[in-house]
Amino acid sequence: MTLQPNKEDVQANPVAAKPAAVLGIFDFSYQHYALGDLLTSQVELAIMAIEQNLEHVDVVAMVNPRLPAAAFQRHIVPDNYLTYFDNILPVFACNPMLRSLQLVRDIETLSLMLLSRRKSGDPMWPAPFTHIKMRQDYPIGYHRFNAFHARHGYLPQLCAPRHYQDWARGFHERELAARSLAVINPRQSSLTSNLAATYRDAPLESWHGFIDTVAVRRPDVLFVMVGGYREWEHSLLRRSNVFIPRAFGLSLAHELALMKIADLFMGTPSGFSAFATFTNIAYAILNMEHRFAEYGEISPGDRRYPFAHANQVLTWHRETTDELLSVFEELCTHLRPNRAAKSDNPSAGSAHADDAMARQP
Amino acid sequence: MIGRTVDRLLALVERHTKHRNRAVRRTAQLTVLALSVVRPPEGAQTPADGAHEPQAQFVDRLFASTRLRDYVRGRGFVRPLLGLGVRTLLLQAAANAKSRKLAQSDRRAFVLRVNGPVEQALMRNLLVWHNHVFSTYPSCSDGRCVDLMILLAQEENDARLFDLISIALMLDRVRNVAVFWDEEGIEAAAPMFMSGAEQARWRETRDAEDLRRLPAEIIDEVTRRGTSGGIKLLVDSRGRVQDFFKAALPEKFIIAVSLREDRDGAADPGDLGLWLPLFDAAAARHPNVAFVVLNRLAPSHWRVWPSHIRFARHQGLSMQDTLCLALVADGYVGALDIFGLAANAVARPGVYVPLMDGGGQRAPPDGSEQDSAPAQIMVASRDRARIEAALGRFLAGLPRFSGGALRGG
Repeated sequence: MTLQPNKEDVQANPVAAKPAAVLGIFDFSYQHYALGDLLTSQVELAIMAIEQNLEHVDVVAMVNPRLPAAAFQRHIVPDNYLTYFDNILPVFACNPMLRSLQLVRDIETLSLMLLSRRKSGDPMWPAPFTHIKMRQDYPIGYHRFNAFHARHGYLPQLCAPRHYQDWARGFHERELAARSLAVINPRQSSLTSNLAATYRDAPLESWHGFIDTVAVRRPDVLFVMVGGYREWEHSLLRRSNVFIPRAFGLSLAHELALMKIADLFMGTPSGFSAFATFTNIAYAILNMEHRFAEYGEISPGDRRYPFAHANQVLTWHRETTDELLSVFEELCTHLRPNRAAKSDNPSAGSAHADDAMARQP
Repeated sequence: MIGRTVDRLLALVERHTKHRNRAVRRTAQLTVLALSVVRPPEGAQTPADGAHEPQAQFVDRLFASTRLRDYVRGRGFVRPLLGLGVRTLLLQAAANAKSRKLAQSDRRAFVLRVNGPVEQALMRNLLVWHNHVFSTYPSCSDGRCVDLMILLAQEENDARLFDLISIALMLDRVRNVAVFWDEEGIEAAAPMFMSGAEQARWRETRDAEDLRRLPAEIIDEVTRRGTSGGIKLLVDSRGRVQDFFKAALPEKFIIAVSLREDRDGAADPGDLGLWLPLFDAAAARHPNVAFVVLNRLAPSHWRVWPSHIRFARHQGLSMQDTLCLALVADGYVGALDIFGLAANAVARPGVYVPLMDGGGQRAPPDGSEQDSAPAQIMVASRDRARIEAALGRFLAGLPRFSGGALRGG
C-alpha cells in the first residue's frame, strides 16, 4: 500500500502543502453502476486533484437502500442492491490518489457532506448542482483528458486496487508460473441476466479460434479471461492456455490487479477496456462504436486516442480470427524485452502451472 | 422558542401530508419540508429523541421517490423547477437532521484499527466486535445502527480488504462504512460521522478498537459458546445459493465447510489434508451427505473432486453469497471463522473447531466438548481425533432420508 500517489502512475507535479482533497461523490440513485464510467471518473478526479495542487482524493460512494439505482438500471432494487454495490467497490481503490473510501447508506450523512462542501468551497466532483438535478451525462467525454495530456504530456494512470498489486505479482509467480499474461474480455451480454445491446457482443467463434491458434504459436502466453462468472462459455474451462479468475473464486479486485501486471489486453469496449485505456498496458480495443468517437474527440477509424502509446490501438469493426491474430502479433512486438526473452525460455515452473490450468474446475 | 414554534407548526401540518386532495397534500408536504429547513439545526432546544421521526420518515420517503426523480429530470419548465426546489429543500432538511443527531449523539461512530493483514481471524473478529463489544456501550443499547471507520495500517500484500468490506456491509447494525489509509483522512471526515464529543475524544486519545486484539476473554467465550445473529441474510444471495444447491447437489444434506486459510485467503493445504479424509469417510457412511467448501482454492491445488465435495467460490458465488450459504446450509463443519460464527449464530447444527490452538483460547476445564445449541458441537481443540469423534457424533445424529418423494424411498 502506498499513501502517496504512485509516482510511476501519477507523475505528480510538485504538490503544495495544502491539506484539502478533492471529494468525489458517486450517488447511485442517479449515477450508474458501470465499471467503465466509474473507472473513467477516477481519472477525472485525479486530474482535478493534480490541477488544483491537491494531494489526495476522498471518495464517497452513496447508495440509498430505498432508491438504490438510476432509472436506467431498474433491475437493481432494495433487495439486491448490495450485490451490485459490493461488486463495484474495487473500482474506487484504483484511484491513484485515494485517501479514503466512504460507503454511505443514509441520505442525511450525504446531504451534510454535500452542503458542507458547498459552503466551504472546497473542490468536489461532480458539481453540487449535478446532485440536485440528479443528472450525470454518460458516457463521460475524454475532452478533459485530451486537454490535460496536451498541457502536461501525460495522464494520471489507474493503479491496481489498493493492497492488491503485490498479491497479483506473487500469484503470477506462484500460481501462473510467471507466464506472459494476455488479458481478454470479449463482451457477452447475452449470457448475463440483464441483457443489453447484445448486437455489440463479440463473435465467440473467432475468439476461440484465435485462442487455440495462439496456444500452438505462443505456448508461453496465458490468456486471462476477465468478467463476470456468467460472461464466458464453459468450453473456455477446457483450454489449457486460459485462466479464468472468477472460476477460482477471485473477484473484480483480483482481475484488475492481474490486468495491471499483464502484458497486453484485448477486448470489446467495456469496463475492462476503460481500465486498459488509463494504464500503460499494451491494448487493442476492438469493434469500437462509431458513436463513441465524438466523446473521445477522435474520428471513426482513428487508430489511437490522442494520449495513447504506440502499442495501444483501436479497431472499428467486428473482429475475425485473422484480425485478432494480427493485432495480437502487433502487440507482442511491443512486449518488454524481458518478457520476450522469458517467452523463448519458459521457466521451469511453467509445467506445474500448465498442469494447474489443465485441472480447472 | 423558534424551535418549539416550528415543531408545533410541523405537527399541525404533518397530518395533511397524506390528504386525499392533491393540492392540500402537496402544499402540506412543501410546508413540512420548508419548516424542516428553518428549524434550528442544533442547540439547547433539541427535542427528545424520536420527536422528529415522522418528518425524518417523510424526508426519507421523498428522497426515495422515483416520481421526484422524474420531475427533476423531466422536460418542460414547471416540473423540473418544482423538482429542483424540492430537492434543494430536501438536502437542507436532511443535513439539518444529521447536524441535530450529531449534536445529540455519542458513540454512534466507531474507529476500528486494522494493524496488519486482513486475514481469517480478523474477519471473524469483526463479527465478534459487532455482537459482543460495541453493543455493550450504554449509548448503543437502543438497537440503532452505527457507522464504522476502519483505519488501515500500511500493508503491502493484503488482498482481502474487499472481503472485509463485504462482511461489514452485511452486519445488522452497521450503516456507513468508511475506510481510511491515514489519520489525516479521519480528521477530515470526522465532522460528518462523529459528534463533537466523539471528535474531541478521538483527537485526544486516538481511541480505536484494534480488531486484531479484541479482549481474549471475549474470544474465549465466543469460541466456547458461539454467538447469536449479526449477519443479514441477503435476499438475492439466498436465491443464488438455492440455485447452486439444486444444480450442484440435488437431494443432498448439505454441510457447509470452512477451512483455515493462507495469507492470500485460499484454503490452507494442511487443513485441506486434515479434513478431506474425514469427508470421504463420512460420505462413504452417509451417502446422502455432501460438503460445500466456502473457501477458495489456489489453482495449484485444484483437482477433480469426488461428487460429495464442491467449492462454492469456484462456481460463481461471491464472498457475500458464501456467507449466506453458511446461514442456510443444512449443517456446518469446520473452523470457527467468519463463516463458522455466522452459521453458529443462526443455530446451524454442526461441528465448530477453534481457528487456532492456544492463542488465548482456553479449553473447557474438563477438556470436554460443549454444545452451544442443540446439535452444535464446539470442539475444544484442533486435535484430529477430537474433530473426528465430534464429526462422527454429529453425523450419527442426522435424520435419515432416502431422497425425494418420488424416489420411492
